[in-house]
Amino acid sequence: MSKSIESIWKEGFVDDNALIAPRINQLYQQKSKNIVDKLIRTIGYNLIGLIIGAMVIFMGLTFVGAPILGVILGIMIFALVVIGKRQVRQLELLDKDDNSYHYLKSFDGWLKGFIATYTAIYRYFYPAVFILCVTRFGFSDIGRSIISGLAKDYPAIPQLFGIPVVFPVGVIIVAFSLAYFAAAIYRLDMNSLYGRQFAKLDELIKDMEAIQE
Amino acid sequence: MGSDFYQSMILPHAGIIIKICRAYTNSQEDFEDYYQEVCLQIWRSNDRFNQQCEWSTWVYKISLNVCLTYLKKTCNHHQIFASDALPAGAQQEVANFHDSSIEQLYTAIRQLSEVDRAVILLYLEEKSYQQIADIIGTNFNNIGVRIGRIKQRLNKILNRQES
Repeated sequence: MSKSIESIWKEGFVDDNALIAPRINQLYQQKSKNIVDKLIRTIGYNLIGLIIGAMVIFMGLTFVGAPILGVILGIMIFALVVIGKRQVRQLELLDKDDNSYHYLKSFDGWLKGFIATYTAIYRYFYPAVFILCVTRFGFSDIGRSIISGLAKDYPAIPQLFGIPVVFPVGVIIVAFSLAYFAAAIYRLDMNSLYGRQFAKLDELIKDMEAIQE
Repeated sequence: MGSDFYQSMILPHAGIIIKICRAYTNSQEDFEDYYQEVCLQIWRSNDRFNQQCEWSTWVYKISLNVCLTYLKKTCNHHQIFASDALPAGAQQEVANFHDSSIEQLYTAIRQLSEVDRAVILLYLEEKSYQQIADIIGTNFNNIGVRIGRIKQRLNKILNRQES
């Protein structure tokens, strides 16, 4: 190679003004596609999905004769939406003109905080939803007939207020399991949605930190 | 975005943006997307420009931050990262420079990691080690060593291209 990279660069760009900038068409209407905007958008869709889900659950449960459960679950899901909205608002405060390392670090920090908040919530949310649904089922006609049928067919099983004890024990075990695995379930969910972006972000930050070592 | 802002604040620095976006894209379509995204972000964060640095340095920062974090989905839904190998035929698509040497250099730069690309672009733009460290957000001490390594790698790639 005859020329240095510095001279290739200099000679290649003798006049910066000669470079042709692409035409800007309806820039403001263009969809933002960078990782942060994409995440905000995806989270936004998730939140809308939650609102629709809350409405569907409320209407469905009202239709099957469990409006109170519908209202409770609707309020719980709506609370998730409100928390999500607040988190996204924090993301908008990220300083894009910060240096690259700090920018990515602050984004990564936000992401970790977001995941931690929701993991903590889901630790109670999943078991609570399960217990509410099972309790409501236990008071329904079908639930009552199943429980009384079991109590009649297996009189040897100890009972608590007329309910075979295996029921509450089973519910408690499943509820604790849901609480225990809430983080793993949520991580799985997040990775399926954002896994690629997370990996890219980690890779970039590690690369920048490697320069500092 | 007002056309006044584009004309007065962005267009005079379009060269910087073009140079950076070219290094992070493999096709004309991607390049135009990146360019538009950078312009959009410069306009959006204009209010936060506090004149602690030069406007051009600020343009560098935003351009690099956008390019480093930008993800482009291809038609077949595979995400291509800028560090991926240049697809066959892509060189032709992005051959927007009259000088073939600079095109070869860009092809070599695109084979570097995303962060190395940022470092070498700033170096080639004659930014001081301190400015590079400020923009990237790293230690000033190691920039020299890193640049040395990147240049060696670039020379190797360029020699391979020539032979």
